[in-house]
Amino acid sequence: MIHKIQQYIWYTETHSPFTKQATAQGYLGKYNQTGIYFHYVPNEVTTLDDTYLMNVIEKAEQYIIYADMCLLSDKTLHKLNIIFKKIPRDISKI
Amino acid sequence: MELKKYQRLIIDDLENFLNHLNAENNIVKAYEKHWAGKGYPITSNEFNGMQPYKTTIPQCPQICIKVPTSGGKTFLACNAISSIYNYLKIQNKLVVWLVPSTSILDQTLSNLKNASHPYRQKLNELFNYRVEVYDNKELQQAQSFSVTTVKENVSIMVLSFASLRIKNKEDRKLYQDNGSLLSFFNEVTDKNLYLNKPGVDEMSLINVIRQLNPVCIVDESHNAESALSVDMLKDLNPSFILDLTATPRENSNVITIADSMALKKENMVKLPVVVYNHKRVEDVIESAINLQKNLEKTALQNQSNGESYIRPIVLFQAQSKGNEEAVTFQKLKEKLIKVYGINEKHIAIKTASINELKNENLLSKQSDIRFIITVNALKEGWDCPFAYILATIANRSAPVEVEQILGRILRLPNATQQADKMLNMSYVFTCNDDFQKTLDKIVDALNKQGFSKFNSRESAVVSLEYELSSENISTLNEPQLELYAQESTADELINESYKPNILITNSVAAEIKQYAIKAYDKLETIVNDLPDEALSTTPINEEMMQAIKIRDKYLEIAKEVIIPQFMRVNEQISVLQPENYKLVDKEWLLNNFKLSQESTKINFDAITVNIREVDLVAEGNKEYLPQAVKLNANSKELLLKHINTLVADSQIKQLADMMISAMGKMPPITQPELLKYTKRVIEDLDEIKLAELKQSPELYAEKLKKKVQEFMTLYAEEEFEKRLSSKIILKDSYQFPASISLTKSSPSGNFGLYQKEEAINNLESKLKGALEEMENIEFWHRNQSRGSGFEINGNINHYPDFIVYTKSKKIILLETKGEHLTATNKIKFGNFYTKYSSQKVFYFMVFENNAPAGAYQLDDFLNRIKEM
Repeated sequence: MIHKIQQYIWYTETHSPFTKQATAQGYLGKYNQTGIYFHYVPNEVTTLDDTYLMNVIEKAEQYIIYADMCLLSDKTLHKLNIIFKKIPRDISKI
Repeated sequence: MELKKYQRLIIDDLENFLNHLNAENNIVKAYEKHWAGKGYPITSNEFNGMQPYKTTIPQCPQICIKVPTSGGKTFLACNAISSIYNYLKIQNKLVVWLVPSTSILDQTLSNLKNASHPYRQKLNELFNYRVEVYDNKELQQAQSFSVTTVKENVSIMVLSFASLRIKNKEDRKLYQDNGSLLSFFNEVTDKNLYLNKPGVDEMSLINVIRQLNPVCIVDESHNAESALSVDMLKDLNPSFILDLTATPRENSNVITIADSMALKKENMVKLPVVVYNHKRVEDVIESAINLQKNLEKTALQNQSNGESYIRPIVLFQAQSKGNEEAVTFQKLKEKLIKVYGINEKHIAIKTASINELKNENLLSKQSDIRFIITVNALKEGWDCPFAYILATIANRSAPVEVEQILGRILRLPNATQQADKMLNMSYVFTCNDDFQKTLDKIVDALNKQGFSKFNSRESAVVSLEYELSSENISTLNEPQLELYAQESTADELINESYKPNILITNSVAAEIKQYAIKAYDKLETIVNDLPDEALSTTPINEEMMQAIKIRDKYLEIAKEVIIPQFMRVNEQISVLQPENYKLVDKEWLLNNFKLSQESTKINFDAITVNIREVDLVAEGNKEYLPQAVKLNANSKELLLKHINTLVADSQIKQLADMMISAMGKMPPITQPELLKYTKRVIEDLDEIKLAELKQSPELYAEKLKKKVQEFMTLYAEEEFEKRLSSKIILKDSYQFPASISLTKSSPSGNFGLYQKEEAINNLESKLKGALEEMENIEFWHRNQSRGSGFEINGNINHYPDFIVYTKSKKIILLETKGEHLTATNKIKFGNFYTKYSSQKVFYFMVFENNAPAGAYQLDDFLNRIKEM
């Protein structure tokens, strides 16, 4: 199931099929110098914070990180060039 | 696709303005605050500083974003729509997207309608896939355009300026009765909004638009400058107008400016432009063809190394000669085929009457086109990143007309730097008697594309001219020499006897490569040397673009000055944040803050008075009161009616939702936490207060927001003092940056650290005078309260005005204050700092008069530091 959602997230971001294997911490891979992370645990509220950033293992120009909540300030997000996206728990129309 | 850094700054600027608009409910004031916040106070002085807001349509904010050509205008607009609606909070979201020409119309429509195009993807993402894009025809037939779809989606109508013209004979359907729009008129009620002008029917599309208070996006807004256009805009009854242009008109209200250097830095443009002036038209053609071949070869090699596909294209700009046009183009085409052996399939003509590019996707691998012959038919909006070379085929005496066409070759493919430098530049070949004038025109053309900061020619434009040396002459045969002697004309370029001269062409190519790469490296250095603040979105200011450096005499000594800051151990070391220590900031101090533990007893007594005041203010400034406020008031009334029908629990939930949406984000408090708390606050209200809250939820929200902020400030202050004894250390950290950028400068006297220092006020200037006369001082520096300036960090961020370094190696931090300002917090904080730095750094707050306890009078301070 999670793999399906990962495929969906990867496809929305890159418009290419997801052929890689995500890490246990939700790193999907790098596309066009953008690192894509999907911090998802079923039935749990996930948080993007300093602790989660420890899972960023590969350098990129910018990072897209999906989570349910973000505790980092806008300033920090700007500085580290992270785009936070809320996990779309209600996917309506594609 | 995501916003590039400079684009994000632009959207931030827009949101900053919208926030002010939200807080002030006054367009003029919001504009003032916006610029004041950026360090550029509005003045009414005509020649100096920012101009006040200019009202074109009362109650409708009209603001302008200045972005150079190829700065990603359309993508910015997509993002801006979302920001604007977040502010407006209008239920029916209708965007009227106006474009100046049919070619841009087609392009915009096809991009926005294409679900796999990044523009549309972004819109879908921002609006949860609830986006509909309409062209004029679909609107007329009301295909899928109905009351219901408008309510559920963001509806984007893309229209040309021309289609709004009321007197337009062929196409004025916008103003005619249209039965298919019936559904709107069944529901729409306000007949006062109907457009009362001759020739406008009641049940027309324009009246539908007027009812919906659209947001207008005006692309290339400098084209919409006539009075007629203003009227046309007014007729739409818009709630907000966003102009996008590279060259704003005089009366534009610019809120942000994309910097051309940033475009270079982020690989959006092919710069520098290499200009080569030939003696003969033949050589122009030949050099262009030759360069194309070389570039294509390089591109192919890169491709095999994994870079993306590029097929460099030459634009031949022929001279416009009225009716003969067609002949000239055909002749040139024949010449390319016969003399230069170009494959016919590689050539396309694009003029007003012939369009061989119509069904061509130039970016596709399937396309063969490498040469495009045109006059000026490639106008704004025609963008082909593969166009690298512009060759002007005109008589030597005729002035070069490049203003429009130069912009077409500037966009860098995929906005990605290519490994080969030659593929990151653009090239212009001309043959003109007055090369100087030609160059002026090119620089001018660059300015008109919004690259106004590149007026120093040497950095953005490389100019080269062909010299006929004796060495070259020997390579020419008789007829060629003869040709050099006479003035060749564009018509004569069909000289059958002419054969390409490989030797000359190759030497020209080598020359271009050598100079171009040198210039490229130079521009790279300039761009990379610029401090980050210089790339932020501030007004055009020549001075700002200079990197102001540490004076040579202080280079060594400045290095030894390291000012300590409050740090903490980084417990979450990662690739992104590899540093062992991090600066203490409010975010970290609040990491254990729990809103649920704070009191919910909040005193709302003062609000009753405010309600009346707000109404009065609004009454006084009707013209500047954004219409959206009124619209929101209307929808609020409806909502309140609805709320009153609910049971108590749902009432509280609804009111709490309204309040937290008015409060906005309050990090690090999460939305669920805030909601829970707000509900508890509402539960504690008595009947009277609850009724009042229903009347003005935004005033209650404001008060609550202030209170919560107070809680956080207090908490952070306590935490700071608590953690000072355990987790926080004062650690050497800050060093003077090698260069800074200034918005306004003042001379740095004898002992200023940098070549120039930031402009100063009266008291500061007195201080500077006194410092200049001290004997024990090494240097002083006017600290900047932003960007790379020094801050004493902690529960507050304090940027002292001056940093002074004494010969005895002591660092003095100096904050100056006029009279009646309370500064207890900063004094306390500064003294902490002095204490913990163990006599290395000294903090002083200096008052001109009436210094409070803990601070110094100017004279006392001067006496004190004489001895240090």
